[in-house]
Amino acid sequence: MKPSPSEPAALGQVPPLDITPAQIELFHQHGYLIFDNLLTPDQVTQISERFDPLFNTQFETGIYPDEWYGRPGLSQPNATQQMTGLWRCDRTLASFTLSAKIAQINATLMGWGSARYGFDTCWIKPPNAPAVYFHRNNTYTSCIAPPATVTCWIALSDVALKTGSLEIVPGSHFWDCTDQVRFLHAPQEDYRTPLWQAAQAAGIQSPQIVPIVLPPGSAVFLHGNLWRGSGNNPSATKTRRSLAISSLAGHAKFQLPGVGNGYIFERYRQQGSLDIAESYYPILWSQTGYRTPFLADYCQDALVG
Amino acid sequence: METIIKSPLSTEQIGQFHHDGFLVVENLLAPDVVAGLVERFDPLFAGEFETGVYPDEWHWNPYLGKPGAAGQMTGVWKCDRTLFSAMMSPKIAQMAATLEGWNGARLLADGIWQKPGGAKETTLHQDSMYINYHTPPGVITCWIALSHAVAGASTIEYARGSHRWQLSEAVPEFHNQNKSYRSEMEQAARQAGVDSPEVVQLSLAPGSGVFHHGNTWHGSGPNTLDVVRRSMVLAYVPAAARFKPFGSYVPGGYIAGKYRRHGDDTMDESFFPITWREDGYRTPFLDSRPANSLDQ
Repeated sequence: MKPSPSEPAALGQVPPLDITPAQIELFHQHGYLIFDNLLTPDQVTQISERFDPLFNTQFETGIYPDEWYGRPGLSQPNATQQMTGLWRCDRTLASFTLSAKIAQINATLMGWGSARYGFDTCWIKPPNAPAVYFHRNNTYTSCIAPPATVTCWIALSDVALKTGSLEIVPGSHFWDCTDQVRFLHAPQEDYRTPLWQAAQAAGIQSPQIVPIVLPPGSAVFLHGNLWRGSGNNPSATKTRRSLAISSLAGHAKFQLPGVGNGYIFERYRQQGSLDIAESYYPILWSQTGYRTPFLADYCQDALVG
Repeated sequence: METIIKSPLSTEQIGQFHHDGFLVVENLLAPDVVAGLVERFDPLFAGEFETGVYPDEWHWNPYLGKPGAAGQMTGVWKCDRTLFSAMMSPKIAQMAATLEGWNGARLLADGIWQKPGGAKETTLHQDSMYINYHTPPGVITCWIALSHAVAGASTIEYARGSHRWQLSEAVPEFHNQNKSYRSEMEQAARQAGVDSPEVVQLSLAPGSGVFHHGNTWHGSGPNTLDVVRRSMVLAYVPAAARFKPFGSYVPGGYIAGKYRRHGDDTMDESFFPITWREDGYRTPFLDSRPANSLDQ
């Protein structure tokens, strides 16, 4: 029987977390946490198969994404393909990116009592794809209070240096430095330039860049202030695919108008209100069991049985 | 007391719109306004958004884009104050409402296009294919040339009278088809019993525009000249429009459907402002921003 949306016990009920206090401590200490085998091989395939239709303008719901780079016909053949706002376009993808389980892990790592959708993005780096500037994700949430996000970054193919790995700087979430919104793709200069500037501001002499190596289905959780980027994909044959699921605090609101950088979020601001409407940014998991009701009608939760 | 509002268009112009499915109106924008808008194109496509807000749609940028490919951006009023000022014009909205016989016009979507030399065709389509989730129904679009729009340089083209044909299934891809950019229009013509549809390629000076009915087939050919064709597009629905009742999402909602709240059919003026209504109402936040250079 389908659970009633009014029964809290049926909403957002996820099994106990298999994350230990020690892992949470590691996340806070280093700004990231590796999580093996978050998805099964079948789930990885299920997600990856949805990407080609999306980039060929075949959206299952008929709704377009919030951000889209790398459109066939308009982009260079080696362009990185990035799409954000997947959940509105495709309900198979929504069943993963709106999953209560991932939101719960995100919230637990951050110490939040609830988590709402922030952004969900696929990254597809074909052979010879260009670099992506180093950046902090929290730079893009500055119009939100609290201006904080956390990301579950899931490998959908082998991620290694030979395929343009994700690169992070452990501990850089503590740095006292600034970042700015910039076009992240195919920089004309060293893609690490913003990182060098930030390190200098923070008084760090030699920041240690660590390439993330993951098999398909495994994930890394990233603090919103952690510096990350990626070099070009040097492989002649292999495409690197990943899915990034970022949460905001469930209690998040908009900052006052004019504060911070609007990015995508500001488009959804209702005049005269600081509330972030759940229709646009649903609550995915809460300690109380609450989950935005319409989700039960919109898609399944692929990770919560 | 009855308020008499002077129509911005003549009876003949309104008649021509209903006969052809489109109507050219010259000198909608002054040359200095056009120049100000054109200056914003390069920064916008390069991702420099004055307000810090990203557009709803952004196809082509100088870093990942194929040289010579078409560029398209939607929801630009949120990104740039110069564009905002022009796009919220009550004058253009009044013309749109007058042509449709509405008591007001609500801006559903905006867009900017640039088609450099070598840019491919834009597949002919009907706007109503993508905009039919609201009631009362109807959409009217104003296409404004920001450069000389001429045959051979990807000017807008119309199938005259095609607004009287049946609405077709949505054309899935504007930019990257492997067949003639007119083929879907020609198929619709045959279904309407029209063997040889008349395709009109307009010649417009910068600042002049054309209004078209939501069912009128339109698009553009390739740009075969060494010039960049630039244009601005404004799509309006009736001021009274609301979303039709839907379930957990708006099927085929394209961009506008994202802004529907669940359990609420309101087309929130935060996202779909009323830019002109015959009783003088206008969405309040529009006039708390910089003055409209078109209507001073």
